[in-house]
Amino acid sequence: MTPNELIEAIGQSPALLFGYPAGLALALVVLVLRRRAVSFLAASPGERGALAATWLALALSTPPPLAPVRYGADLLLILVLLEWPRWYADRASLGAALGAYPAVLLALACLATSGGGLVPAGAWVLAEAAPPEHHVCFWLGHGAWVLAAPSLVRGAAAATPTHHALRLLRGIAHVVLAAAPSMGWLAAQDPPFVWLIPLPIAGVALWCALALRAQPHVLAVSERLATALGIIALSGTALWSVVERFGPQ
Amino acid sequence: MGVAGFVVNSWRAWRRPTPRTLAWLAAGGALLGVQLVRGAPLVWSPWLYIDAITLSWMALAAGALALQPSFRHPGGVPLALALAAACVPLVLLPPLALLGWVRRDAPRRERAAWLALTASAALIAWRGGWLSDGSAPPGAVSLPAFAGLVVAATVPLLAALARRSEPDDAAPLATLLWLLPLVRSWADGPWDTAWSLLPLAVGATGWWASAVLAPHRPAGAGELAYLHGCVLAGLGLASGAGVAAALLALLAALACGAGPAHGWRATMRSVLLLVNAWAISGALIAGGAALLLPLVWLALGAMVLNQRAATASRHDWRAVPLTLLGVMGSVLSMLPAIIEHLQGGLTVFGDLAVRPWIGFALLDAARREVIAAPVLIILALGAVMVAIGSLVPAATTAPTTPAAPVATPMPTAWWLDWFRRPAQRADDDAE
Repeated sequence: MTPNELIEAIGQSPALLFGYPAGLALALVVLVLRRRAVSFLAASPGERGALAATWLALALSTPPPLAPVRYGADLLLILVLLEWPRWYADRASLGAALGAYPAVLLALACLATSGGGLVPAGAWVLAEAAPPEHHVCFWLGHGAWVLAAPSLVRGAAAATPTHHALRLLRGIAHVVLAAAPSMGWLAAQDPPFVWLIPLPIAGVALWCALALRAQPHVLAVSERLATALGIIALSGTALWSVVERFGPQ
Repeated sequence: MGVAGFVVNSWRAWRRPTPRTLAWLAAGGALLGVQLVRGAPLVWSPWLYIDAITLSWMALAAGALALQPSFRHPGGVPLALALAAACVPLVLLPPLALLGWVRRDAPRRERAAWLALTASAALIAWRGGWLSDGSAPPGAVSLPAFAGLVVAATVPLLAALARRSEPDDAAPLATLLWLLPLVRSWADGPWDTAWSLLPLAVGATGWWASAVLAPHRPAGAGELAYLHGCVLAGLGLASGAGVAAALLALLAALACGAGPAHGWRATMRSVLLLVNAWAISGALIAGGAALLLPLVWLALGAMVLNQRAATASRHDWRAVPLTLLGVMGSVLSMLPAIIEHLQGGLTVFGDLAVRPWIGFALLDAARREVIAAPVLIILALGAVMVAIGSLVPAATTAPTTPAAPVATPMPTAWWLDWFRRPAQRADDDAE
C-alpha cells in the first residue's frame, strides 16, 4: 500500500519476465522459430503489443512451485490478457478456441468455489480442511480445464511470423494454466513432490498433442464433455451445500 | 499535438471554459467533495442533506455529460431536477418525479418509470421513511415499494433494448435519477435479503437479452443494455463487492453512450466492458453465485460476435492505460465512501479492498481476496516490456499500414446457438 511496494513489485519484474515460466517459454518459442527458420523481426506495433500481453499473462500466472507474488493478478485477468489478441489481432484463430470457453469458465467457477477465490494462491491450492464436496469440485473443474485445453492450444495457420510466435506462446501458457491445479496439489504435499512437478505439464502437453492429431470430433466431444463436467461439479456442490444446510441434522 | 500544444490548449480552455470544461471541473470538484463528506455528511437541516452519494451522483452526472461525443446543454429543467433529487429528502421525491411524468413528449416507458418512482417513494414516505439520511424506521422499505424502485431502475435497460430509440440529451441524468432511490434504499436496511434476488434475476435476463438482440439493434445499444444488466445484478448481490461492480457498470454505461464509436472511444468501451465483466464475476463468486460467472462472459462474447456492425472499428490502444487509470481513480475516490454509507443494508458476502499504489481487490466473507487487479503493477510491467521491446532491433521492412477494416466472417461455436435467435420477421432488422 505504499510506493515502496510498487517499486518492489517492479523490482521483481525481471525474475517474473525472464525466469520460470515466462522466460523459459519465450526461450522455447525462439528455439522453435529458429529451427523452423522463421524470421522474427518484421512485426507491426499491434502485433508486438499482442505478444507482450501474452508474455505478461505468462509472467503474472506464477504457477505453483513459485510463491505467488504479493498483490498479484487473478486468473480472470490473466485469461483476459491471454485471450484478447485473438479477438482484436488474430481473429482467424478465434473460431477454433470459442468452443472451449464455456468449459474454461465453468472450471474457473469450480476452482473459485472449492478454494479461496480466483487469485493463484487460492485457486490452485486445495485446503486440507476443505469438505469432501470441495475436493470433488476442485478435481472435476481441473479435469474440465484439461479436457478443454487442446481447443485453446489449437490455432489457425499463422499468417505472419509474429502470429506464429504468438500461437506458440499462447499454447504454452494454456498448457501451464491447465496443469497448474495438479502442480499445486503436488507442491502442497508434505514433503512436497518437487521432482514430480513437471509431470502435469508434460501430461497436459502430451494430451494436447495427441488430441490435435486425432480426428476433429475428438476435440468436439472433449469440449462438450468438459462443459458437462463443469456443470455437474458446480450444480452438485450447490445442491450438496443446500442439503447440508437445510436437510435433516 | 506535442506537449506545448497541449499546454496552450489547456490554457485556452481555462481562460474561456467551454461547457465541457465546466462539466469536467464540476466532476472533479464533486469527487474531491466526496472525500470531505465521507463519514460526516453535511446536514444543514433535515431538508437539505449532502452526503457521499449526493456528491458521487453529481460527479457521475457531470462526467457523463462531459464524455458525450457532442456536448449540448441538457436543459435547465432536467439538470435542476437531477440535482434536486440528489439532495432533497425522499418525501419531496414524488412531486419531483411527477414533474418528470408530466414532461411533454416523454416516451411511454419513461412515464412508467416516473410513475413507479412516484408510487414507491410515496409508499416509503408513508411508512415513515421521510428523509434520505438512513433514519427510516425498520420496515419502511416494503416489498411493493422495492419492486417499484427496481421497475424504475430497469427502464434504462429496456430503453437500450427498445426497437426505436431516440437520442435524448437528458438520458444520463434520468438514468441516474431513476437509480438513486434504489441505491439509497440499502441505507435504510437491513431488510429481507431475499428480495434482492429480483434485481439479480432482472440483470441476468438483461445479459441474455443484450446477447440475443445484438444483431437486431444498433451497435452500442446492446452493450449499454449489458452494462445496465450489470448495474442491476450488482445491486441485487447486496454486498460491498456487488455495489462496487454496479457502480463501475453505471460509470461505464454513462461514459459509453449508445452511439457508434471509433478510435479512443471504441477502445475505452471495450476496456470498460472487460472491467465490468471482471468486477461482476468477482462479486458473484464472493456472493456464492459462481454458477452465473460463465453466463456473464459467454453473454459478453456472444454479444460482441453477434453485433450487426461486422466491420472491425479502429482502435487507439493508447487509451487503454488512460481508461484503466481513470477507472482506478474513480474507484479509489468514490466507491469506499458509498459502500461505507450503505453498510447498514449490505451483507458480508463481498467487500471492496482498495490499495492505493497497487490497485484494488474484491474480498469474500472470510476476507480472502477473490479477485485482484493490481492495475498500477500491470501498467508498470507493461512499461518495462515496452522498454525491453525498444531494445530489440526494429523491423527491417516498414510496417505495412493497416488495411481498411474488413468484415470478418462470424466464427461459429456450438454454444453461440444458445444466444442466437432465428430472424423471425424481416421487419425486425429494418427499423
